[in-house]
Amino acid sequence: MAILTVREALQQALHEAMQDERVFIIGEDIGHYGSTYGVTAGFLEKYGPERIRDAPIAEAGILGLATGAAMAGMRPIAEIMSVNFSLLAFDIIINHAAKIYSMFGGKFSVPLVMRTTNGWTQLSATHSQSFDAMFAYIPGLKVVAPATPADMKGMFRAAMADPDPVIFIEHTLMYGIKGEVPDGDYVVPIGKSVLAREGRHITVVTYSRMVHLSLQAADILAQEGIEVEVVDLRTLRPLDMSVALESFKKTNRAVVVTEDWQSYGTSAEITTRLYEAGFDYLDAPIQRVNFREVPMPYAKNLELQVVVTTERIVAAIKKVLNRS
Amino acid sequence: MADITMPKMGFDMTEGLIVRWLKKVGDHVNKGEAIAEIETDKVTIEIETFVSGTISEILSPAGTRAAVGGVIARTGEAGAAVASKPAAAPAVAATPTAVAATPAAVAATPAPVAAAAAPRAAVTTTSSTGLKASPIAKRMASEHGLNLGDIQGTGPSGRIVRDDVAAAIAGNPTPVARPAAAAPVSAALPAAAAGATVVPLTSMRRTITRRLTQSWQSAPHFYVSMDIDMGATLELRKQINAPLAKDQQVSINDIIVKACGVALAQFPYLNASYVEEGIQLNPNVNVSIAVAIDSGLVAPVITNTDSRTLGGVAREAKRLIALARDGKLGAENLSGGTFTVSNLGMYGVTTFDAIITPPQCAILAVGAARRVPVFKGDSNEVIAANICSITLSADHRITDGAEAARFVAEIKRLIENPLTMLM
Amino acid sequence: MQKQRGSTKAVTSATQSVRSSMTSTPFTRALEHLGADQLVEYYRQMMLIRRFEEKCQEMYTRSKIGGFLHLYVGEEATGVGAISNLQPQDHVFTHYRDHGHAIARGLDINPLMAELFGKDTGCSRGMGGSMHFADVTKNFWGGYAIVGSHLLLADGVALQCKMQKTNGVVMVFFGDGATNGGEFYESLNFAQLWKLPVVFVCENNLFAMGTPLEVHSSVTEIYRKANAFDMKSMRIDGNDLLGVREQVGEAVEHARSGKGPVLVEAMTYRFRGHSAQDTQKYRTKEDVEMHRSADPLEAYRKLLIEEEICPAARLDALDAQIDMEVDASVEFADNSPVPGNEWLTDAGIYAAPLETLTVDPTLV
Repeated sequence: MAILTVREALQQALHEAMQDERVFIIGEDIGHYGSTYGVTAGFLEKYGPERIRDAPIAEAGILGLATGAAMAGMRPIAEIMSVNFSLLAFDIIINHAAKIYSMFGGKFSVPLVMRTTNGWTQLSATHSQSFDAMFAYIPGLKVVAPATPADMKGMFRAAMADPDPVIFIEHTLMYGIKGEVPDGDYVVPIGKSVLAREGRHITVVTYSRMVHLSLQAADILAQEGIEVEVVDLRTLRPLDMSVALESFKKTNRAVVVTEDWQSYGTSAEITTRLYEAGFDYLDAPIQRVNFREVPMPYAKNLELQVVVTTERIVAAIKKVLNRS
Repeated sequence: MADITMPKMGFDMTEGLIVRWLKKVGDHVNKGEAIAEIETDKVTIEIETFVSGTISEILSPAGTRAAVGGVIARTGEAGAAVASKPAAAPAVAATPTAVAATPAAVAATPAPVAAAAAPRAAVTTTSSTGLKASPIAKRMASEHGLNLGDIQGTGPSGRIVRDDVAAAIAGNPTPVARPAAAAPVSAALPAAAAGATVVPLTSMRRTITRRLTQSWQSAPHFYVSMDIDMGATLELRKQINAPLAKDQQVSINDIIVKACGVALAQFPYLNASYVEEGIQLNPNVNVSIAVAIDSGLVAPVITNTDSRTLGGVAREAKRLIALARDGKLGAENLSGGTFTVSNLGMYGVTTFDAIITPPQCAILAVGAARRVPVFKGDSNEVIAANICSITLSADHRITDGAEAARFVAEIKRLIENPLTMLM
Repeated sequence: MQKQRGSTKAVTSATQSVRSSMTSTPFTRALEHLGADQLVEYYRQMMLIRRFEEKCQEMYTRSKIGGFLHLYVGEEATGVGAISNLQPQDHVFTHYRDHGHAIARGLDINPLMAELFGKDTGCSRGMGGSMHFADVTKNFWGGYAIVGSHLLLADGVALQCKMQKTNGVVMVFFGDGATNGGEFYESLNFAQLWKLPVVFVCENNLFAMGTPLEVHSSVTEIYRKANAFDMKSMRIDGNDLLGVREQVGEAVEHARSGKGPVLVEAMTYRFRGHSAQDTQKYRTKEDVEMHRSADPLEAYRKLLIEEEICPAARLDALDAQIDMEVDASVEFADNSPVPGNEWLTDAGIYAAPLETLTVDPTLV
């Protein structure tokens, strides 16, 4: 076991991936600039410009070329610096990458991994969004959003081995988070959720950065005798609710924490699944904690009210438990 | 081998909820024996089997719903006769316009809510809609054969939650102590409520709550009061009762009920029901009489009140009151009322306003007959008279003040001239 | 050149001026290099496309074919001439009017008709329909129905050719209407920037659906749009089969040699409406008739007969054989099974379905 940051774990995974000659990375400022978040720093020098392809600022092009290359047998990693920019590539992602396998009768597929980032920190309205639900909405895509360094590395391996297009969602505020990473080869499969913390009073269902905030909330509540169970979904599509449901059947209460807007967002689907499959076990209405539904303000005082905080998670848990 | 089906327990019943089974697979049952308790949207009631035999299969376990006519259980002995229809069905057919049963209005249940501690009457009323319980709580209660009505909810708005049922299963009448504050009682209660005990609602109380709240919220009530000189009626009653044994005697209330029946036959809109399509004029006059019992209130129905003789009304009222006191009223005794008489005279109440029993149009609140000085006719001479105040509560969607006034005046005329009712 | 808005005549005369200014068809060179049989083979391909499309129209009206139906009738010389330059290791991408390219690339018409009939034996297993013919064994990557964006996928395959040094070239077809959206410009920039072996073939049939060229594009000489990227480009007569073959052949060799992509603008005309239900209010019957009188298929047939490459009787026999083939494709399609419900499960959506499913099999 080594203690690594999320960034370091991803770097290891990317270096490993580059061992396959079919793999190349295409994205904006991944090479000469040195990578916006430092993940591919040093890669250009090590692998050269043929395989570390600094692309024009043309997101449709990045995804389009990666999709075509994947169809023809390459194993491209397309990096979209910020998920907000991926909107310019949605035609390619949705109309092509997600459709090609079934639309052409399953004769060929798109083994593509698109890395991208959620995140915010006074970046205002167009640079602080999450489109997790929009990706996860699309049949044909696989969508993962790991939370820990170990899962980042293990799930990236799974994504690279997968013959279907995988949207790999990272978080700009998570690159420095540290955690134990197993030595040697291991794969964390896509489509498997996991228990991040055991508890018996209430279940928090979440993923990505919100796992960490939920664990903090659980620590706070533990001092009041409230034992919070935290479920890390890890994959949004296919959505594995088995662990969350098992937990919910035990605790009968749930809070769903996602870092996106509430209406039609990921929490809407997760909550619905809990209600559908867990109805007979429900002891209180499920609460959701999400972004407040406004375009993200720049001003810090406002931004901090929009985003999910540990305090808001604690408050939601207490509300479900009918505690003051 | 015979089917036991969900019986139709009222004209508008389409399905029933199995609250609990009184028999289990393997039990021998005799025709007419109660086998299960079911809940309709009006009542919770025991249902009987129409076949004898050994129960071989229960198809609708407790907590599930079954459509009227749907097979809920089977008996295993071949050859047992199967009643083609539950007995209750023809009774309903006899009063095709029969309207809902359930107890009537009246503000005062003299006994405090603590009456909940009293044993449950054979016929209790409860409601699936008025009760707030979480799904897991419902499931646990069902699995343990607990009546949710007997459990105190500590969740938001009094919702029965998992821990409440868990406490009940553990035999602990009070909710599991919560580590933190969590005062379940409404914040509107004063601080002094800290020492209060909260008595769980009985099924009947829940039904009263639900039905009368519904009435109060949906039916615009208005009130018409009138004083009646009871002199002639008291005199008549004395004459009628003189030769009769006590259990045969006619009460003042019987005469008032009979007067209402006669008057209702002349005022179809007071004998009507407000329904979605309009105003339903009920062809039969069925006066319900409010009867206070230990666990609350029931309102059995005296069918065809207008065409019964005064003696017939009195005998029927006595029979029903006895059944009510013994907890033996059946659905057929509780359904089909078209008007209600509520009398608190025996408690010394002079006037009061009652809440209409839905889907009826009106209810008559009858106070105590009392001796008061009155002017004799148009003279200045003051004499003693026995005056009783009656107050009609009527549904303004169906009738108006003038009609209600004429109706009350007719009741007054009949009571003040009781011999006309003996014709 | 001043053009009257909405006037197809003005555009038509531009086409003809282009045609007259082009080098005449180098028939003798073709005969020398290819031989008579190959010249007849091109005729066979064009006629097969023509008859297949006419049968499609018939089957569409008989409700055997659903959805949209975009026919290639009139544009056969462009597809057949351009694709005739490709090798097995080369690749084809095309748009939703894809029947002609599929046939020119050598796809068997039985699975094509079956695809149109929504059958399991279809080239795309009945999942794609008219707009989505594909056959990966022939590097025919499919018809794409989102105008313009498949050009980027073509760049991607070209990137694979370049990185894995397959010596392959990618030929991508699109219409004049596809040259106004951003993905067209992104694809030209990427291709030229990275010297990708792509031949962009714009089939300029003068209309973007029903919008005339001069109404939808600020530059009506589409090939000039390559100038922004310093890319080689050419405008050719798309109705002259052997001319198309020779000039696109130059473009293919340019791309294959590593010099970068080429934009070819082939002037052509579709005889039928945009799709089967097109009322064609945007052009006159006279315009259509004038173009039909210059039918590239008839012109090529006449050439073969006049130059004594093939007698009319043999061409007639070939036509009759094609008719039988097309009829047989209908029979094949009719007798084929429909696709199974596995397409409604994860197995139909993912190359590697996972243990956790995305499609709830218990859905009612």
